[in-house]
Amino acid sequence: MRKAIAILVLMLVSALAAAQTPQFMEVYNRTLTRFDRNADTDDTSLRTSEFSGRMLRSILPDKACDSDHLVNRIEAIRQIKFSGPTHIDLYERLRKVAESEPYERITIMNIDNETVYVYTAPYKKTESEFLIFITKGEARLACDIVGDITLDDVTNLLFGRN
Amino acid sequence: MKHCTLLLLLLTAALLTGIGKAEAQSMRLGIDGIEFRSPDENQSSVYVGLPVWYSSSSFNIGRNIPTSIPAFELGWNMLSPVDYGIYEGMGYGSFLNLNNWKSTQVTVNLLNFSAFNRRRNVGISFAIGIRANNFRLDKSLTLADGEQMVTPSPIGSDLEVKKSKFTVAAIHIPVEVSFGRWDKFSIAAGGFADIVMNSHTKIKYKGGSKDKEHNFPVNFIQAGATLRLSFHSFCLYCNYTPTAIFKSGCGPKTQMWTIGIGL
Repeated sequence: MRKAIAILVLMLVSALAAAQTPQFMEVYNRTLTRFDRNADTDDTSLRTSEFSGRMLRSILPDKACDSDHLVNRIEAIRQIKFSGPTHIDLYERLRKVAESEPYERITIMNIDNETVYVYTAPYKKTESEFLIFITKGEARLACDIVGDITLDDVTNLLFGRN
Repeated sequence: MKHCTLLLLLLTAALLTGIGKAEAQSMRLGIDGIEFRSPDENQSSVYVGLPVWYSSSSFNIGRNIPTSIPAFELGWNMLSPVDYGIYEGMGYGSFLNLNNWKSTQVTVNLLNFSAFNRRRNVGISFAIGIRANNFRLDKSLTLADGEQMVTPSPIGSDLEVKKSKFTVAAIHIPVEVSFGRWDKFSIAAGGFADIVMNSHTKIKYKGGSKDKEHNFPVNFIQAGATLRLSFHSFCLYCNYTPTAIFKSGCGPKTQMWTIGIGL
């Protein structure tokens, strides 16, 4: 019971503290719950990563010197990597989230044999959230970037031009 | 002139290094997520990620898979009180007195099958392996396959006997249900069936020569129960084999206990 309450509080806190939409965070937290249940097994069919703008600036200190650079405008990145069909339910759920309000589909394109779907949603007054899906064969990635970023920034990121 | 050339070379090197560093730090979003180019390793990517481990498939076949049954087991055999009823009046005495420390059970499990739940704390494991049960006899005697009956036979050789033993070799098929994480701490209980392939006595003499006699009237299938406690890759096990070693009416009636370790 204590554990359940702790998990619930943790999910609530992370949802409230998250920059991403509650719809995205609901699926993301489900992913983390599965992680918690299976943290010690040796299966890599589901992976997540998340890092703040501060962490990005620490990783790329040269870029952080440029105040206009993307790393100084990103607030948070959360991504889920699906390998194989096992967790397709979570991926489909995210796609469904992206196809409804407040998200808006910007593009579907192909880069180096990777199919890329880009969705956006408003964040705060002037900032944006970009939810990007990339698929290649059975591998799927959902990456959510929040901050003072534009579609150009996302395009540059996809083409490795920054 | 020399100085000019040196200066030019230094400038070129500095310029190239500068360009290299400027290009080294970058980000790209691809199928593996955000990739960072490290400033020091221009060619390799730095992935920042928290791996999420999740069970996609809970059924495994092969070697080195999640299982409660270890690849190698070494145990020590003990016989429960032996019933010599069929030898009544023959005056053979208690000839199946074993040296327990040297009566070993050696098992090698060659292929494993297992199925675990998604949390991997409850599972069932099967294996196929080979097992040899060694029973170390008194140095002064061996067993003989008399007329449909195993009898003790004094070793009458002039050579000094180093050891005398009786061995039963079998194909070993264990099945166990385990509770707890197989790679941390788990308790497993199950059974096994050993399909006997060969049985023989061996007398080893000092100097290296030996005598062997094969095919004793042992039970073709020897089945039993196992209880196992596993700690990481080490386990303690206890086997109880209620099946008599010898066929009914062909030898002493006894059951076997084994305590051992597995790796």
